Amino acid sequence: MEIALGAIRLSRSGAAEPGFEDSLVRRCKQRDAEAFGMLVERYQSRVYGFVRHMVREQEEAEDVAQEVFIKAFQNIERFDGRAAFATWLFKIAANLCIDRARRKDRRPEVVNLTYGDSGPAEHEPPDSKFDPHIAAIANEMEKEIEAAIQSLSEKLRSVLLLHDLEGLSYEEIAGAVGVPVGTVKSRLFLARAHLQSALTKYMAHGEAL
Amino acid sequence: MKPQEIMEKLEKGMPLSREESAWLDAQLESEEQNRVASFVQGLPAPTPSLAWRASLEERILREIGKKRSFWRRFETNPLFASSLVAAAAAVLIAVVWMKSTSPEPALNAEKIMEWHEEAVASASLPGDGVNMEGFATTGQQGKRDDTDGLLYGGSLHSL
Repeated sequence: MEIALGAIRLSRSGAAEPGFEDSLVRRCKQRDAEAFGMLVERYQSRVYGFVRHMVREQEEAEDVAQEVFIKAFQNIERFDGRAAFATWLFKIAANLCIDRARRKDRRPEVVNLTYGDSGPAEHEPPDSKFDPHIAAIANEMEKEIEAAIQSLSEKLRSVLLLHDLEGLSYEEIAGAVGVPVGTVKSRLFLARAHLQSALTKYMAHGEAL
Repeated sequence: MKPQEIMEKLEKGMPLSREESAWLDAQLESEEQNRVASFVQGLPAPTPSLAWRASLEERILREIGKKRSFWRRFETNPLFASSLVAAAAAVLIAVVWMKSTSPEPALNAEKIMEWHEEAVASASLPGDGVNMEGFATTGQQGKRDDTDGLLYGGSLHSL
């Protein structure tokens, strides 16, 4: 099965041609495996990355990430195109991750929030020239960020990852997780506030939340 | 409007006022919030392995195969095919047999009358069955009884 052909066409053309994804979805509804392979190629990294951050164990995360695409293939006829395909795909991913977490009955640690001046940071940042916009992050900091994200509830974690990691808009996230836009904003704010409390030593000097 | 009170409302999932929502929108764009967002954005993106991708392709092909499996089994499994044909034949034979042995579906008044007259005619057979000249045949009216009026829609006045 020449799944790679689609990937080559996507990479050479740069951004997907207008309507190209729509045509792929139409072909997928005809059970076109090659077309679905192209969609997998396009979204596998994003879905895999999202699920890896939502589900702690790697083996389980890989299984869930596969399940996302299997569910998408099984239910492609139900996709009506009113939302973006990415939104629909992440909706499946978020629901599967939350379902898996509920089955395991995970109880994340609660990080107490205090609103007010928390005083100076306890430690200097590991690199004074550190720019969070650069892809490379110090290993220790990376682990602490991952641990802080894992400490969030699934509801807060999913919104944080969909917005800050995957770049979905408030409206897209609202459609994906099935809550109002206002709730998305509340959850995003709370998730970031939790992370800020957990990562105080990496924040710049000054007021905390 | 105190930030701590708004935080408590957010934690409890309580609705915010317009002013509180405006405060929330402003906070989402604050330096601290954006810094945390950049920490998350800076995380390395785990990529799926080739083995993961191969396993996924296998599962997708199996999904496609499920839809086609019925007809493939018909083509590739003689036992399955012959069982299906035998079952279909048995159903067909049963339907044909039931149709052939079913009674006359339509009964009407004319038919009932004809049967009655035949029955009446058969009662006129001579006792010894030898002299058949007076034998009443179908179509001949038998001697009518006064009670025939009751049987055939008459009235008690005839009695």
